[in-house]
Amino acid sequence: MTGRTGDTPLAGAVGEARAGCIDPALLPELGESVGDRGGEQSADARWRDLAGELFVHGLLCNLRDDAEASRERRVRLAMSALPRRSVRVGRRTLVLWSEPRTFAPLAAAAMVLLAVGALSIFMARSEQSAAALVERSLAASGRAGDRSYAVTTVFDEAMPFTLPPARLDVRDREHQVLIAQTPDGRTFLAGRDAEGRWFRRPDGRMERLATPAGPGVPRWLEEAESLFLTDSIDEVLAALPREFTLRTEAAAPLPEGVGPPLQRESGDRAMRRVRAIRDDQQGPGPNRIELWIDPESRIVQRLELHWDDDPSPDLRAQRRVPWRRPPGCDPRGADPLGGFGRGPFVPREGEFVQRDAGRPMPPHPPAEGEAFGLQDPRGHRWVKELGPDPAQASERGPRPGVPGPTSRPWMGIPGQPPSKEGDHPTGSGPLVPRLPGGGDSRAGPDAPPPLLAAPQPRERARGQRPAGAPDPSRPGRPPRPRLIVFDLTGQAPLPPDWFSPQAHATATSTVPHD
Amino acid sequence: MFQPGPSARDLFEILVREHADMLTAFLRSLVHREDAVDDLFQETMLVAWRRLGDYDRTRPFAPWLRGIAARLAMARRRKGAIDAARCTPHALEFLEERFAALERLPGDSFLERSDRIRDCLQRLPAMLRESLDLAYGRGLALAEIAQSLDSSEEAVKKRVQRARALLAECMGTQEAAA
Repeated sequence: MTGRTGDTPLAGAVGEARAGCIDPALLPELGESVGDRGGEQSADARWRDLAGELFVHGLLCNLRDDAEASRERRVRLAMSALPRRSVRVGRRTLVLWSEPRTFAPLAAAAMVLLAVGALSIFMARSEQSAAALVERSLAASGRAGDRSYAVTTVFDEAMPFTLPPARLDVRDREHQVLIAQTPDGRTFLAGRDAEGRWFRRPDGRMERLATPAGPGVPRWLEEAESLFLTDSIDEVLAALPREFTLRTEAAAPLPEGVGPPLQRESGDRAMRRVRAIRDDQQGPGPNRIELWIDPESRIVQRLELHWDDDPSPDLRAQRRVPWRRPPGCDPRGADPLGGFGRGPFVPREGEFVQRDAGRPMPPHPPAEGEAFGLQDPRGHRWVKELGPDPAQASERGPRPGVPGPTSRPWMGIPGQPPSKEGDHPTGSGPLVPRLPGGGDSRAGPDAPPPLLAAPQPRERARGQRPAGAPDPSRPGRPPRPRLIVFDLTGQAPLPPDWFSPQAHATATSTVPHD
Repeated sequence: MFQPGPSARDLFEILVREHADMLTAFLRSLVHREDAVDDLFQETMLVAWRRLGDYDRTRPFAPWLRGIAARLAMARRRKGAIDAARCTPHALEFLEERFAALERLPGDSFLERSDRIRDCLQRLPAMLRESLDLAYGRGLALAEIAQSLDSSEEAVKKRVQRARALLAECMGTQEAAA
């Protein structure tokens, strides 16, 4: 038989990689079988025929697949997505993870990803109900070319530089790279190109995510002091127009940055302003978004994501829906089982957190002392060198002869002086506030420096913890951010391959998604 | 509220493994893209886990699982997913009949029961079997198959469609005999 490569029909032969089992042009379609049978068929008969074809189609696709490997992969992913422990609060189920040890190191970076996701939404999609100003800005973004944004995360006004700064490079809706440093010293690198999303593993290998190359990057959401990746970017994008109310504000120059001093090209020009208020204030995402848009280029110059504890009366008055949504109304979409609710967002395939669970520790890099910083491909360092590569003094513990975490240089904002008791006095890098009392579930010498101080509980109604306050029962876990700011810092062209994983690989092997 | 403990989780994993092939075939019947199959598989299991307390243990687990998957697929269709365009209530109703009938066939596992389609494949006319093999076995595109068979694309589509219909009939005959 022509084309047979296996011993059994359809088995063993693997065709070219494609999104589905067969060419979509060959999928069963309703009514196509009518002509073969001759004569008229009832609607039921046509649906029955279609179902028969679909049934066979499913079986044939399973025949072609490597059942054992495929089953194992799906089972593992499904089981890893199950919550360890859950509590129900009203109609919502909050999921509490039981593996803080594997979760904490990347949680802060994931928070930045949350912001990246929100930014990509604004840059990638024009809402039907959005203001014309935002729509024009979106259109302009598509023609703007390469841009770089400084990303700064603020947990509390009193300690604004808890997270090291990050940089987001954007070319268009399909090309972006986020470079961030986690509090425990690793460089977090994730991006997307025309082939889809990728990230760099802690051991330096690049990994592509087996997810469709749709718009946006992984959008992380934080809830109950944990972070979750939404199950579908499409769903998030589809829900966005219903979630925000946009309105213009009085034009104003860009405010002072909350992060390092910025080299802004816009000067003191007045920027067009847009404020976005989320209608449902109970979700995990930012409840207020502020935009500064250049009146000439129409490019977003600054974007602020706010997690307000309790919106002001002014903000409440701007919302289109009541403060508490009516019972039974799930703003995130129809309930497919008639009442079970979608529950929390959970990590999906390709999520970073659990993928590290149980994996062997990566080997220590061979050398220390190499200057480390966020290198701008245009030729200058965006953040000044921070001393030895923090990844070399990661949470895996110090190497013999290498200073332990307690003497590891702090990463932070260049030029930012120590301002609080507990600031680390040593290290070649700049200092950031370090507050006493923090900790991590990894006790002992292997523990990374505490991220935050022991909390001053400010419990709110319904048991909610305010943004910026850590969880006393989960020391070391980054709290919810109060504010994440994106400031446009450059628009010079980046290298053509800057958005491909190869441009950032520190090892050559590419690990297939498991 | 059902509070699954560690043992419940272990048992659930056994159920997941036992029904993974069936659910995968069911989802592949409904949606085209493999990533959509993966998404729906994971969502289905997550919902099943959350709703395990509502599951009637006197009834088979597989139809309950397919019910969840079908609702999720329909929700996906309502949201405009193109690859879920066939997830209509009519199609799902009849599809459920087919999968339920397959489960009545003798066999220890879904794979063993579904393997009967290989017998049906052997009974297909050579031309139809060849078309199916190129489409499913080698994953060729419609144009490539047409070129390979020196035929028109429309003819290839008809052959593949006809082959599937015959296989459905063949499987139906076996199910009826059981």
